[in-house]
Amino acid sequence: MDLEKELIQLQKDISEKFASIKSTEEINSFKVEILGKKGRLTRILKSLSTLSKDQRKNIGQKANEIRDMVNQKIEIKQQEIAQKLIAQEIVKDTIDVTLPGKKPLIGSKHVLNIIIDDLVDFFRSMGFSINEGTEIEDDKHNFEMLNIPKGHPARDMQDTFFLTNGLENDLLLRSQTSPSQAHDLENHDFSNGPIRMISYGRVFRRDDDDATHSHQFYQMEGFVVDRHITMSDLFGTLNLTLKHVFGDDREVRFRPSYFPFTEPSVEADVSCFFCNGKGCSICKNTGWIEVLGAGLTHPNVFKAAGVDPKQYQGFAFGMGIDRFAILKYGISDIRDLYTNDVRFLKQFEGEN
Amino acid sequence: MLISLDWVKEYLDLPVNAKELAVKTTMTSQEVDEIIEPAKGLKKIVIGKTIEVSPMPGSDHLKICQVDVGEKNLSQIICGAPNISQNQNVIIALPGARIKNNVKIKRSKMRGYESNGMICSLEEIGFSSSVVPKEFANGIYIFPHDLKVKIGDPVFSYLGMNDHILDLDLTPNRGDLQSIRGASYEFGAFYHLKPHFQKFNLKTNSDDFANKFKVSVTDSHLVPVYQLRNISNVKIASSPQWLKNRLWNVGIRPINNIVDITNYVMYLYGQPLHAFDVNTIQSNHILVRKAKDKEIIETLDGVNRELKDQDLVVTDGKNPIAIAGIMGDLYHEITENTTNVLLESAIFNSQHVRETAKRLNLRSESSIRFERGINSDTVSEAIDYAAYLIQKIAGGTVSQDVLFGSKVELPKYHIMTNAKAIGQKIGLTISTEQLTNVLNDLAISYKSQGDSILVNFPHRRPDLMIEEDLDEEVARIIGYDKLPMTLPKAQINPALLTPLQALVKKSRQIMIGCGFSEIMNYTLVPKNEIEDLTSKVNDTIILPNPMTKDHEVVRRNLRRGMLDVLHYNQMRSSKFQHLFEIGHTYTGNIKKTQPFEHTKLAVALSGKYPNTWLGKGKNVNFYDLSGILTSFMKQIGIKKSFNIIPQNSEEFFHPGQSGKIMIDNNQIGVIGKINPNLEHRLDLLPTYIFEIELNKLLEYSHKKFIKITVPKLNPVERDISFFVSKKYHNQDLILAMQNLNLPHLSQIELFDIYSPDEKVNSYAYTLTFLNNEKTLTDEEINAELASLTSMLQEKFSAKIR
Repeated sequence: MDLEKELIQLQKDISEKFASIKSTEEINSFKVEILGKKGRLTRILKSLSTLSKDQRKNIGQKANEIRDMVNQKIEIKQQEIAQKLIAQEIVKDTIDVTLPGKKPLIGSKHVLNIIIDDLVDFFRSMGFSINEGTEIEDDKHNFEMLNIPKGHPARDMQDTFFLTNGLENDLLLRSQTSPSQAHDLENHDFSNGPIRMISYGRVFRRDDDDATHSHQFYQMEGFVVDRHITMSDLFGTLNLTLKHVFGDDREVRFRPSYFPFTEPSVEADVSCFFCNGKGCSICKNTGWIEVLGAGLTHPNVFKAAGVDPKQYQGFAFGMGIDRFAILKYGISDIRDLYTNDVRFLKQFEGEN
Repeated sequence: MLISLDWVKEYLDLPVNAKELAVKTTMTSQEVDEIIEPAKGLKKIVIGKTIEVSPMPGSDHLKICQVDVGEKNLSQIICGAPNISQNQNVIIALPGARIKNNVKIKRSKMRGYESNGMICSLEEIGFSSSVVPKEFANGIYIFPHDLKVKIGDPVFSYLGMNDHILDLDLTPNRGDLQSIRGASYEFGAFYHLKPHFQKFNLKTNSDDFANKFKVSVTDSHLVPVYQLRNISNVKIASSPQWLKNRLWNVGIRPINNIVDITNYVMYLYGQPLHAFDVNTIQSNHILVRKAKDKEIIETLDGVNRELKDQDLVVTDGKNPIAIAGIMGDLYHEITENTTNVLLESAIFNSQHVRETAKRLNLRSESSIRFERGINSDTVSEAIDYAAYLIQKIAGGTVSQDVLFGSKVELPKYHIMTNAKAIGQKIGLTISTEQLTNVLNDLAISYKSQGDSILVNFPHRRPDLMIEEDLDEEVARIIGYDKLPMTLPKAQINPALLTPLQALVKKSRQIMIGCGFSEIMNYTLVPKNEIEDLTSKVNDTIILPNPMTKDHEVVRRNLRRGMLDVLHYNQMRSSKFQHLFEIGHTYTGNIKKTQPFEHTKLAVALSGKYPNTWLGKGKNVNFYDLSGILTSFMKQIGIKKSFNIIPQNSEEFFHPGQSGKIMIDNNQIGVIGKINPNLEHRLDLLPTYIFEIELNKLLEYSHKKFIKITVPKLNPVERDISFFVSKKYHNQDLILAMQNLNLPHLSQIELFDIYSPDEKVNSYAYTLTFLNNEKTLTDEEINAELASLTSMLQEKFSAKIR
C-alpha cells in the first residue's frame, strides 16, 4: 500500500477510534498505537526517506498535520476526561453543610468586669487614669484621712473586717474604694496637672450574705481635684456617666445626702428603666432608681493630706458595680455574681 | 424616722399635701421612704358603746354584746375579748367594713347567735403590736371614759388615724430632724414659713428640794449639761387619748402618763429625758461619772449588763441607776406607785453614748439622739415643758429648784462668707439677696457687712460648722435641679494603664479568646481550705473576728476556690468545664509587715470533651492544659521560653502529673492534675489547673521590638528517632539539643513518643534546619545531625533507630 493511501486510512481510523475513547488508559494506548516508537504514524514518518523529494514533501506535510491533529485531540480528550472525573468527585464529596461544625471553646467575661471595663474605657476617654488601690488597707487611709475619725457614726455604716486589733494604725479589708483618694492626694504632684482618677475593686463589709447583701462587692470611685472645681462640674460628669451606663433616654436627678468625706453631698437617681418613671416594684413606685453617691471633697480630706482646701477643690463619686450589673441585667440575687454557676456565666458570652 | 404631719401642723401651716411635701423633702432634704396613712384602706369602722354584755351559754369565753353603734336599734355582736364589759366605748367594724389587710367583715352567726360586725383590737385595724399599750395587748381597745365621743362616728379621728406620717431615711448628720420641731423648721424652709411653737407658763413651788438633793458630774467635758427637776405628788395613770395618738403615730408605745410625757417631749424637742422615782433613791444624791470596769447594772429590760470604764453612768452616789443617755435600771423607774418624780435633762457625749450602745447592743430612741447631736439651746426648755405637761396631766407640784450637775456653754460656729464665693463653688451665680433669702428660710441668723455676710449657725443645727456646710444648704434650698451641668475644664494628661493593669487586661482577653469563662470567687475563704493545701506556711492572713467560718481567712491562691466552683457546677450536670479567674491574693505576717499583694491567674480544664457527631469526646488531659499555657505565654508576649519542672511535693497536685512553671530560675506558677485524694474527696471529674502569678510575669513581658527578616530560602526538615531511658524527660533532651547551639538548627518538634518497655521511651523529633544566606547542602546538614546524635548517645545513651 502506498504511503498516501495508508495516511488516508490512518486518518479515517483515528477519527473512528477517537470517538470511542473514554478513559485515560485508552488515550494512552491510542497514543502508543499512533505515535509510539512503533506507532502507525511513526512508521510512516520513518519511511518518508524512501520517497522522492516531491512525495516526501507532500506526504511529510500531511503526516505532520495528522500528528499535530492527534496531539491536539488527545489534549482536548484528556481535559474532557479530567473534567468528568472532577465532576464525579464533586458529586461523591458533596456533604450536608448544615451539620454542626466542630465546636471551639467559647469563653466569657464576668459580668462585673463587663461593667468595669466599659466604665474604664469611658473614663479613660475623658483622661481619668486608674489607681486600683489594694484590698488590704489601713485605718488611716480607709477612715481617718477621709474625715471618719474613731467614734464617727459613719464607721457604723461601713462595719469593717479588721485584720489587726489595737495597733496605732490597724490593717483592714477596705470598706470602700475611697482610700485611693487619700493615697492620691498624698502622692500627687499638682505641678503635673490636676487629679483625674478612677479606682475600682473589691470592698468588704460585715453584712450577712442574702439576696440583696454581700460581704464582698465591687465599687468604682471617681476623683477629680483641681482649682475651681464646682458642683456643676460634678453634676455634668455624673449626668454623662449615668446616661452612658443606663441609656441616653434616662433622666438623671440629684438629691442632697450625707457622706463624711464630701460636703455638699449628693445622691443621684436615674428614671426607672423598667417602668420609664411611671412607678413599679423595682423603683418602689417612685419612678426613680438610686444609683450612686457623690459630693464635693470635704476640706478635712484635703487638710489630712496636706493639700490646701482654699486653693483646690474636688469632687468624688462612688458607684456600686454589683448594683449596676444587677440593674442592667435584671439579676435578682447578688449572690449569683459570686456563685459562678456556668449557666449564669454562659449568658454573658459575646458581651465582651 | 417617723414624722407625723398632724403634729407638725400644730406649729406650721403646711401649704401642700403629704405627697407633694414628700417629693419636696426627698429632693431638698432627706429621702422619704414611705408616706404612712393609718386609715388607708379601712372603712365602716365606728365608735360603739357596749350597753349589755352577757356570757354566751355553752361557751367559756364568748360574750353576747348589745352595742349602740349610733343607729336606732342596738346591734348584737359576739365578742371573745377577755377585757370586754358593759359601758365601754369601743371600736366596731360594722357589716361591710374593711379592716387590716383588706379583710371584709360580714354579718355572721356563731353557735346560732347572730353577730352584726366585730369589736376590734388596735391590731385588727392595722396598728403594729409594738405600739399597742400593754393593757390592750390581748384584747379590744377601750377608749378612756373621759374622752368625749359621738357614738356611731368613724373611729379614725379619735385614734389619730387620719394623720399622714413621713418615714424619713435619715442621714446620720441630721440629728435635728429627729424632732418634730426640727422637722418643722426644715419643712418651713421649703415654703418660706416660720414655725410657731407653743408658749407655756410653768408654775413652780418653792420648797427645800435643792437642800435635800445633791447632784454632781465628774467629767463635765463629757456631760456638758446635766440638770434635774423634781415634781412631787403626781398621779400615775394612763395618758389622755391625744398623747397616745401622738406617740403611737411615731412608733412609740404608750406606757403611763409620766413616761409618755418624757417620750413626747423627746420627740418634740429631740431632747431625751429620763424620769426616776425619787423615793427609790435612798442617797438623795445623783453622781454622773464614768463606769468602773466590770460594774454591773440591771437595765429595765431585766438584763444584767457589764460596763466598761468608757461608759457614762448616772449613779446614786454609789451604784449605777442608769446608763447615761441609753437606759435606766430596773429599780428606779417610774411605776404605778410612783408619786415623786425626778426628771433629768442632759447632754451626754455622742461618741461615748454611741460606743456604749453599740457594745451593749442597746440602741434606743434616746441613744440615737445623743449619738447624732442635740440642740443645746433647748435642754432647759424641754425639761420645763415636760414638767409643765406632767403638772397638767398627772397633777403634782413642780419644785422651783433646778439642780445643775454641769452647765458648760457649747461653742457656736460662725463663718464669714459672700454670695460670690458660694456661687463659685456650686457653679451658679447667686446674688446676696438670694443668699440672705436662703438664710431667712432656714431661720439662720446673719449680719450683712457690705457684700460679706457673717452667718451664725444655731445650736439647733449641730451639723453646720464650716463654709462648705453652708454651700450645701444654699445649693439644696435653691434646688440641686437648678444647677447647670458642666464638665471640669482642665489640663488632660494621657490616661495610660500601668504595665500590670495592661497585663491583667490582656490576660483576660487571651483566656476568653482561648474559650474560658471568667469566674469571681470570694476573697475570704474557710480556714480548712488553706490547711488543705499549705499546712506548713505561717504567713496566711487570718481574721481576728470573722463573721462566719466560711469567710475566715484571706485567700492565698485561686486554685482551691476554683475546685469548689467546679464541684458546684459538676453537681448541676456540667461535665466539661473551662474556667479562669484573675484576682488578688495576699500573704504576709501582718503584725510585723505590710502584706504582699499577688495578682494571679488560675485556669482550669475539667471533665470530658462533649461527644459530637464527629466523634466521642475524650477526658481532658495534662497536655490539653499545658498547650493552653504555651499559647497563653506566647500571646502575652513572653519572649523567654518557660520550662515545667516535674515536682512531687505539692499536696494539691498529682505527684506524677504536675510541675513548677519556671522562667530562668524563677518559679512563676504551678500546673498539674488535681491530687487524687482531693479529687476523690470532692468527687471531681479529671481536673487540671495552672495558676501563675502575673506580677512575676511583668519583668518578662516588656515589649522589645526586634528586627524581623522573613527567610528567603526554604528550610530543610530531617526526622530523628531514638530510644532513651525513661529517667530522661522530653525537656531534658530538647534543652541538650538546643544547648549544642548548632548553627542551622532552627526548630525541634516532638512528633511521636511511645514506650516499648517499662524502662525505655522512643522519641521522634522533626529537626528543622535553615540557612538564610544560601541553600544548605546535604553534607552540611549531615554534619550537624552527626554531632547531635553523638551527643545524644554520649549524654543519654540513646540508641538511634
